[in-house]
Amino acid sequence: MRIMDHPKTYDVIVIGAGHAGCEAALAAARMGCDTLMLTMNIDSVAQMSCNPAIGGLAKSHLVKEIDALGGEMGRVADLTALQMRTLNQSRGPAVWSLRSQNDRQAYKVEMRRALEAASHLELRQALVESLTVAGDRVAGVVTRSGYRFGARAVIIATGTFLGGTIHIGLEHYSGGRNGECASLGLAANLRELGLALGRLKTGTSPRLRAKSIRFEKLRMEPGEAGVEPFSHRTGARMASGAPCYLTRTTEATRSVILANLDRSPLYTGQIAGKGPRYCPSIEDKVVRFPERASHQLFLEPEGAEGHEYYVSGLATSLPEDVQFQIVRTVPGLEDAEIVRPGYAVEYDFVKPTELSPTLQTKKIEGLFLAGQINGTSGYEEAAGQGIMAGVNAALKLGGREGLVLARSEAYIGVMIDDLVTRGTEEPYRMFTSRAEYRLLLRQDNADERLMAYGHALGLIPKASLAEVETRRARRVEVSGRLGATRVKAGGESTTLKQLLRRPEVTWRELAKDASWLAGYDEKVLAQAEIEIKYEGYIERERLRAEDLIRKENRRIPAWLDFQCVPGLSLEAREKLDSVRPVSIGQAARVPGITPADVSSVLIHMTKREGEKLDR
Amino acid sequence: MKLGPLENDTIAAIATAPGRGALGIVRVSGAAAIPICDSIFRGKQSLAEAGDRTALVGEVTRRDGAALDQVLVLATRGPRTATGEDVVEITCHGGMLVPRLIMRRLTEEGARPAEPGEFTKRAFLNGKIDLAQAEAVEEIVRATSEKALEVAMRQLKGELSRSMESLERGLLEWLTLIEANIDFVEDEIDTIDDEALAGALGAASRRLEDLLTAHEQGKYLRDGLDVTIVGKPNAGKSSIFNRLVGHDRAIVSETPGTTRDVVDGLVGVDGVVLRLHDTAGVHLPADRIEAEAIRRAKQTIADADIILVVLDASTGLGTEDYDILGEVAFKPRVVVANKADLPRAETPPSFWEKAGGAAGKHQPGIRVSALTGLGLPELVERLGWMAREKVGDLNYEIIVNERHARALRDALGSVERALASVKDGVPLEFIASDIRFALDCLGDVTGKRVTSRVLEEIFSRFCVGK
Repeated sequence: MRIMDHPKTYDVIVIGAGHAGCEAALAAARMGCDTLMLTMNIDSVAQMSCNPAIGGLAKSHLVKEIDALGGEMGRVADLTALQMRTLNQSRGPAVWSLRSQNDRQAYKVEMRRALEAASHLELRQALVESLTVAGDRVAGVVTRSGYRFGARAVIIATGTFLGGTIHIGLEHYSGGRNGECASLGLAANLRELGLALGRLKTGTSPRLRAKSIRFEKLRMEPGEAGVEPFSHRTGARMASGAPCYLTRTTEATRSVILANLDRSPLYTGQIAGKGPRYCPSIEDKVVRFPERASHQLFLEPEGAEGHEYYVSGLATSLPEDVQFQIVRTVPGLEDAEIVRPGYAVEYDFVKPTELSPTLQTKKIEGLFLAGQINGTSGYEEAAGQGIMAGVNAALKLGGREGLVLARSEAYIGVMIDDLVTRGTEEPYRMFTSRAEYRLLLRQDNADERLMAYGHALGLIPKASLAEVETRRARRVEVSGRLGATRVKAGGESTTLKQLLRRPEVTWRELAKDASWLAGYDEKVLAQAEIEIKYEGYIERERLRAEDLIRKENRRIPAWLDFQCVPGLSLEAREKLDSVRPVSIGQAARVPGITPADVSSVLIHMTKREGEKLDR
Repeated sequence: MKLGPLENDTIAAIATAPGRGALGIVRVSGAAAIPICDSIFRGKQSLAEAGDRTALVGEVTRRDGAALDQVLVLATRGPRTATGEDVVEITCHGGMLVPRLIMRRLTEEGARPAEPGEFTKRAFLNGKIDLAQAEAVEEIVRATSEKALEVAMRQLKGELSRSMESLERGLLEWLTLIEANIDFVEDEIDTIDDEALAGALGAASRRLEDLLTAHEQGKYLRDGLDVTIVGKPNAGKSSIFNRLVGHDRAIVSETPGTTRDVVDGLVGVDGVVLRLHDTAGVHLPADRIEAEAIRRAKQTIADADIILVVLDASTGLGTEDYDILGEVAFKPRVVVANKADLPRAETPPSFWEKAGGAAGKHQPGIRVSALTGLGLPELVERLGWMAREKVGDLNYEIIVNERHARALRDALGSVERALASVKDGVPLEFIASDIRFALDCLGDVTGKRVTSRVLEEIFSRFCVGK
């Protein structure tokens, strides 16, 4: 094929316009890089391929973090929300999580609008077939039609499109998403370039025609009014909006599924890729948990128009006739019509241990990967990697040190560290229990944790940062005043601060005794209450976080050869060699690495550093 | 970060207890162990020439070439050695002098005296043993009695690790349930029964307390019990001290105390080390003795685990005796009436009543004679019985090590706080934080992290996901 060159060379090319690609391109462009975003279908920008929802447990934390760094997801989710709810309100503040149901079409429109509004950003439809690599540096991309775009950095964010295969029943065909084709050449090209690839599977649920659903038989799940939105840029609080509906599978559902397992690509062995255990298909749930007579299903609106409903909990790759039968066994869905069937998709992913913590590949300089290509699952996980890849590509081109968030700073830090240190065997999703500093990483303090980074990167205006800093100062002030205000409680003299430590006391009750509290913003008071009430717990995590940072700051020099570290087992050497941890802290988290191994590395590198100094 | 000595050099240490036994062993470990030992060894073959694990007879030479001692040397090449490095053992004549001279020769040739526990540390760093085992080996080095050795051996086989594992298992199951309730709020996860959770946490805290109690008992095993001998002058304390130290041949050392009035001796009774302290000067009133000596004697009594009260059967009880008995009234004690061999040494029931009345009635007294040995076996048996009572049931796993104990105390603190939080209705993620912290503390003992398994556990136990 004759290769034609595009006259312009870009700083950054982003391949893919999903949730990772959008954040990556916006971050790079906003940091001043000439950025080209290539997508095979320009009408599918920011497509929500699965649930029409953003946020939820641990995911809302990611959205708030992306927002604090200057990303777009939170704002677009707020703009296009059909309803919002805070999950886990019976638990404590660290695990409260916002979730929005979103209008799928509106989301795409608003994200496209943001992309179009950005300076230095071009959006173009093209199917990238291969990368151009000079030596071990990326130099650009070549499209299927033989058009070459030069670039100093490339970010691949192709989601499930690499070598994608769609399964519905025993039928399967090449595709990255239902109705869209897969990207085959690029997968082969990455393999040629020496990256290790694996195969994963994920699935989605059928969507139903709204008119065919008997809503009167279903339990309504309304949204919550007055919820604080995802983004600091969204002014107003949300109104309650469109409801979801709840129903359950029945014994009949189970019978249909069990009778048709021989037509399931999962159970006939046709699908080899590993699926997510936290998001099993309905056939998996029925087989693995036979003691459960019934499983709950959520009907989520797909858009403001209300034409379609997504059946959350009913992911399946059974054939369409079986899907039809299954749906009809569910109360309220007796007459339901399927608009789009559920399906499973198998796709190639790059083993994320190929990446350094900046999301740059270790083998090819200037090549960054973000999103599902790294083995993750979820829009928020993808977007979180996207913004970090965009930021780090821009920092690299500017000759600056990369931004790596610590596990004690952000869920984004936890996620990327997990990926590049431990790799993944199944689609990786964020959970709050993955964060060992969970009490520090709340959604309410994401801005305090990360906005200074966003500002330093040029992605957050000074005014927003100043607002956060004022709030922090006000909180310290409130805390001091509460500690200084003495009151009588149960005949004993105590301070308001002491009272607030009691589990049943909130700042609202204290306001009766301290009218001056009314002079403070509710958010300030709520945060002050959290910090006071759970001080002991938070303090313990802070101390541990400091310990972590000390270990992260003990960098392993690039010249260190793990093969030459005495005292390491062959296995440990291989593991460390393949992950190539950048710090002692990261080395300690490599699976199978013992504290003794870490001591050996530490001792060896300290010794070698001493020798180097001597010379 | 503090790292201690670097690991590539060669270390040496005297492996046998100082001053004891006919033979001494000097152990050398490190990359240069064999050449260094060859440079001080003269035999038919050098270690470098001889095969692995071949014992060679010869002599260690002084710097001027003269023979220092007849020795047996054995080289074992790494990594299949205790430290993972090349190791040479030099078996020489015992006593204080010869091993030290050999050590000096080794250091002259480039070896470095090992830090305490450094052999073990190297074994650990070289992946020969895990953390809990490494600490058990350290304890073996320090063990001065057979029972302590037995306990340390048991721990080495992983009994402590196993006991920790069952504790971990229980806490991990609850953590799994709690985390599932937090992270899968819309899935149908079993709800948490606060009472059952409180029950489990209570059981875990009791178990941790038991392990800590066992630690205290382990301390007795390792360090021995302090037995202080008190009595008025000439009651025969020193004679009984000498008798006891001489009675059991397992004398480890006998050194004069730092002051002239307290003398220490070690004796093994039933496998437990007793440290005898002879308070030569404890007698009242105070004007007859220096105030400082009294203070020391009182301190010795306060520190003692067991008091041995020596009365004089030939003189009956006097004020001094009553004062002494009053002084030790709240300590576990054995009361003996010495000089029972003398014709007028009668101890009618009234004698013991008076002694008991002054000292509390929980022990019958023993008639002994330091001179003839009368009653001494009975005294030894009594001491052994009391020591065993202190040490507790040895079938119980014992935390032999202070670092373990600290980790367990931290774990206990967290479990207790979690328990209080459950009762106060504190939100689940804080309770999870405490349980997680407790599990990490236990992981510091076993060297394994179970908290990373929480998600695996959730996926295997619950049907989650939409």
